Amino acid sequence: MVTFEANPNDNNSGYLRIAPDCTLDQLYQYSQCPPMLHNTLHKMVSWHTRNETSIEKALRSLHRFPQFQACLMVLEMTETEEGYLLAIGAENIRLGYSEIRATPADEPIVAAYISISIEDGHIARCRAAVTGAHTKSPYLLEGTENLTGKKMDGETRDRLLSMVDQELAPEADYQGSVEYRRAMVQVAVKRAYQQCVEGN
Amino acid sequence: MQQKRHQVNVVLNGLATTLQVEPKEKLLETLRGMNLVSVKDGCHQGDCGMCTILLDGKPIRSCLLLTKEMEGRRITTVEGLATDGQSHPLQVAFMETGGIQCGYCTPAHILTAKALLDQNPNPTEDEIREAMSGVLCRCTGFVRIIEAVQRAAAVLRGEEVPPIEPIRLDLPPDMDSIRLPEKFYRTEPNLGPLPPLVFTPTSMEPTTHIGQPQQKVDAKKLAHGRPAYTDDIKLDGMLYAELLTSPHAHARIRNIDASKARALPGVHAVLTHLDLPRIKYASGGQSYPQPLPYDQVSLDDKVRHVGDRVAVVAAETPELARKAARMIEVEYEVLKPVLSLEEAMLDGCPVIHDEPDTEGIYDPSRNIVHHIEAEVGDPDGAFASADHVFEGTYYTPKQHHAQTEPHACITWWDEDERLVVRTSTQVPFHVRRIIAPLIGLPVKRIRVIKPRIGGGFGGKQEILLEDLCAHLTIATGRPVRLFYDRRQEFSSGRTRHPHKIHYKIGIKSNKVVAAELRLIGDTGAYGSHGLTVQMVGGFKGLTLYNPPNSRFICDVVYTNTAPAGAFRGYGSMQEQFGVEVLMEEIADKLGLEPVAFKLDNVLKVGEPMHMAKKLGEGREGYDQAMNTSAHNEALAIGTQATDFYNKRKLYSQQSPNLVVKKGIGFAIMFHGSGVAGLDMASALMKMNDDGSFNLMVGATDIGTGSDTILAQIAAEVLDIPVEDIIVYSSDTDFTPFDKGAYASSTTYISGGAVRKTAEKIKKQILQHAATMLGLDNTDGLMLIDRKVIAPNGIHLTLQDIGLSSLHQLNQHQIIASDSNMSLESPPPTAAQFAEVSVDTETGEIRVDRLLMVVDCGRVMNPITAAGQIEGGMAQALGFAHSEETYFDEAGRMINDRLGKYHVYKANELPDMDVIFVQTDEPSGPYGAKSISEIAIDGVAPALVSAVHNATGVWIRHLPLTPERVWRAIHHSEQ
Repeated sequence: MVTFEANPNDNNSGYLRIAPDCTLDQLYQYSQCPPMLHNTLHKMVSWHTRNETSIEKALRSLHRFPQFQACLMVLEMTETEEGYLLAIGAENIRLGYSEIRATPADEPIVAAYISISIEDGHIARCRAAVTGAHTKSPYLLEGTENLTGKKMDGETRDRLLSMVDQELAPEADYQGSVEYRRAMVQVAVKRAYQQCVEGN
Repeated sequence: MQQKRHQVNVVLNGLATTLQVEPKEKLLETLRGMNLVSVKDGCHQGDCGMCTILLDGKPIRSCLLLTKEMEGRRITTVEGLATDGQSHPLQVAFMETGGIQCGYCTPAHILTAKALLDQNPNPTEDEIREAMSGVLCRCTGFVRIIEAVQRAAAVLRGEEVPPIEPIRLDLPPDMDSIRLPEKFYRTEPNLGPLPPLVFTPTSMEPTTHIGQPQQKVDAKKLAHGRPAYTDDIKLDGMLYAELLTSPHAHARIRNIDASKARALPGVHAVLTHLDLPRIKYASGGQSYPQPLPYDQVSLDDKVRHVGDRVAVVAAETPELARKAARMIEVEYEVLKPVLSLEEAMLDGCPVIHDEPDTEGIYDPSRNIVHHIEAEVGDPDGAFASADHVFEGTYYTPKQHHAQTEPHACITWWDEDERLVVRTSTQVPFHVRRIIAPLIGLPVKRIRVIKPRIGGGFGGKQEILLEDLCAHLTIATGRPVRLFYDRRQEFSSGRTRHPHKIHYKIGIKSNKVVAAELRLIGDTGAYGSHGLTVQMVGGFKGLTLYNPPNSRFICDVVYTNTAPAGAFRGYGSMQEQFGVEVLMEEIADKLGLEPVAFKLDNVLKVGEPMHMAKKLGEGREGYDQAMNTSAHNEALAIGTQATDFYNKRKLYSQQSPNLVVKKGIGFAIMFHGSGVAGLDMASALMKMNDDGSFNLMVGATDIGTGSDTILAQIAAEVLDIPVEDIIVYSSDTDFTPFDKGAYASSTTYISGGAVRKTAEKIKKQILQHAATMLGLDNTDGLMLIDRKVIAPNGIHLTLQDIGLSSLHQLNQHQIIASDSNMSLESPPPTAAQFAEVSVDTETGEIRVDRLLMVVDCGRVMNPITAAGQIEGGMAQALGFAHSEETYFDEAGRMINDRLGKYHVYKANELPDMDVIFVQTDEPSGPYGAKSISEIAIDGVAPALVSAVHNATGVWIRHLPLTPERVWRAIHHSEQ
């Protein structure tokens, strides 16, 4: 259901090939499941749900598994004829995530997932997705291409946070008001970015 | 058009099986239709996990699976676990550890655990919790479930496991010399569940059968998933009922046309308000006479909340019944709803109960159903002369019971034309009495049977389905089954009363000299328990610190929301939250050490409870004074176990730059044991040929283990093993009266009845033994270990006596009954501790530990008692942290499924520990008081106390959502 193809020169990086009927639990249990992805299937998604749900079903769901979907957006999983392809383990990729929730296993009120690829100490590509902070959830930030070429420093962080503030339009619901969601998405993105800076 | 059935070949519990199923049939229905009733219906939405089965060895919820898609799959239910009649080690472990309370979730947990251990024979606690998180449990708090899985894993690995025993220590007279077993300090991580720790005063008389970790008498059948619950039977010719409920929060029914529904083939009855007599009643299951107002009828021409009853259908299948319900045409005149308790009393607000035939509403025009005032002493004078006066307003949420078994009822005519009502109820005798006039039958023609119940917590202390089910049986002549789905549980069940609580406390020389409690309670659309919950809240809220000058002013208001009713804690929980937080705020403002301040002011032994007579439960009460208390000991032990004082100081000095801050908090609580002067229970016992006994009690075991406790009491009197006592409970034909499972009365009141009855039995046994031995009297005869022993050493077994008395000598049945009530309601006492980590940037709270040190009098059974505390703390954590009901502007509940209404799951609960401090209550059976509700009273104020220690802010509005905490922190920073 899940197989790993290593890069010829680096056994730690390569691709996961995932069959569409692979269950979330099979992916979760797979030893090389990226930690950030593994986390979106941990605690808030039960073992029962992971057994019941295929990757395909999770990806096509409109309302469930937004964190899982957000994470895969950021990791740039692609669809193939046979299923799905997910690049993992590249050394120049920094990943970070942050989730804000009412209880440790509740679905996040707001969450942020960031992937930054680094070349020569500068950002080559940045992808950031959030949940709970836009009418469309998950939402892939559009302006992150403007960070290409920047250093991973405080200025870039502030630029990213400003971009978040401009792009996002959270809706209030019983879990959080607009004001709270706006404030929390800033916190979540800031923390996720910091993880990328520190390297994981 | 009849749908084509599918043939599906599966391996079911190891046997090749061919199934014939409808296209849309779910595996849950298929399995239950095959009498594999261990597979339970809890929500039908894939949220609760009750329907878990193993599919090819993996735990999956069968309510989500279409049976027709199961071709070639391997399905396992709990019925398939036992081998040659021997329980699986997991079943044994669940029985031994107390991992089973109501048992409704037990098969699902056992199967999930099996799947886990099959792939991981040595799981960590975290791995167990993660695996179990797909199955909810509302009773246990998961502590003993985790222990059960660990124990079973060890057995399966071939390891020896020790017997299940609490840790027992003597209570030293000097609290400073108390030392706890090292694990209870939790200085090391990953210690797992701890056994209950029981401190006993050396003066307390030892017992033999009481105080033992006796396995529950119903544990085996629950572990094996045997038919035990209301819906686990199917009667010949049974019809299925469906309830049509209101989509509007407030509306008149201008016209209702059921003709199309009635014309549908397979529909046997459709009842609307046009078909039933308008007989007023109150649905709250309480003693006679129930407090007014009687503001309900079985089916009304006005609806007062989304989910209110409109019509009811009986049909050949559930699908037909649902289809017919949808075909009923209702013309509503929609009215403006009232959705908040503040809004309800405003002039010009829509009137919810404007019907002329409801008596006893205090002020219908302002939606005030009750106005309660009570006063003792001279509060105004005391406030005027106080050194300080402090005030605070507190809010508590509309919490749902969320018990795992939905409401269920089956009614039928028996061969003697008596109506049998088999129902998931906490109050069988009240059900019988209350529905009789509604259905036009005398009480003597009604029999109510309560089977096992999958949780109640007060939500089943209500007449909710029984009258409708009975009406349909009367209309059709057939058995009828009515079963709430989970949405109906939320919309058409009951909730806790949300409260707006305003306290005013006067302090003089650091003593509480005056208190005023102004309370607004929201009873929802109907009165139900509206009077009594608020009166209990007022009494408990003003008695914890018991100032001689107190005032209670309360309005109970209607709103167009799901009715509030009884819920574990019953007002006391809400008001003790308010007073405990305010008392700590006062200590903080006055620079006083809060533990000493509270201890100095708390109700003491011997003090008359000033408000007791003024605020009984729904009527005048009785003078009360506390005979026993262990607040002092509980605080001493709890502060030591948590290193409270050191942590408190350390945490109050955390750097302002720290994002995640720790905090530790506490609260003290008390409750009651039964309703003084009102609650009554009785028991009947008879001896059998073999020296065993039948014990018939009206007491209602709702998973609490009361059948077991009561058997232990009888066993103690007679000095026989519990297995020699066959308990039969809660059948209005065969068991004597008991008011039912509420008010924490069962151990104290029902236990007292059992003790008295067993004493009578003992006397008869000794008398017959004397006759058998040719003695003039029973002097010197002793009943020990199934034998009567004479002074000269000659003995007779109980079997000898049973056979002799029934068949041979002066033939008679050794049989006795007795009743018990009390003018006292001795309070259990406790201290609750909470440790938290607070993310000050987000307002997230992680609860790291909960510890309760509790005095319930004598601990009848340390395993079931610990289970009550652990489960109570988990439920209270929901009240304090995660559970709230949200409505849209039209009065529809937004989070009306278990996925959105967040009940704490296995993988997020903190370490929860229980320490008992026994006291010897003179009025209770063998010194017992009560335990069920004290368990829930302290977590909320302890959590607020801990958050304040971490952050410096007081939060007065529950639950402590991240946004509320964040706003409180940031508001204070600004």
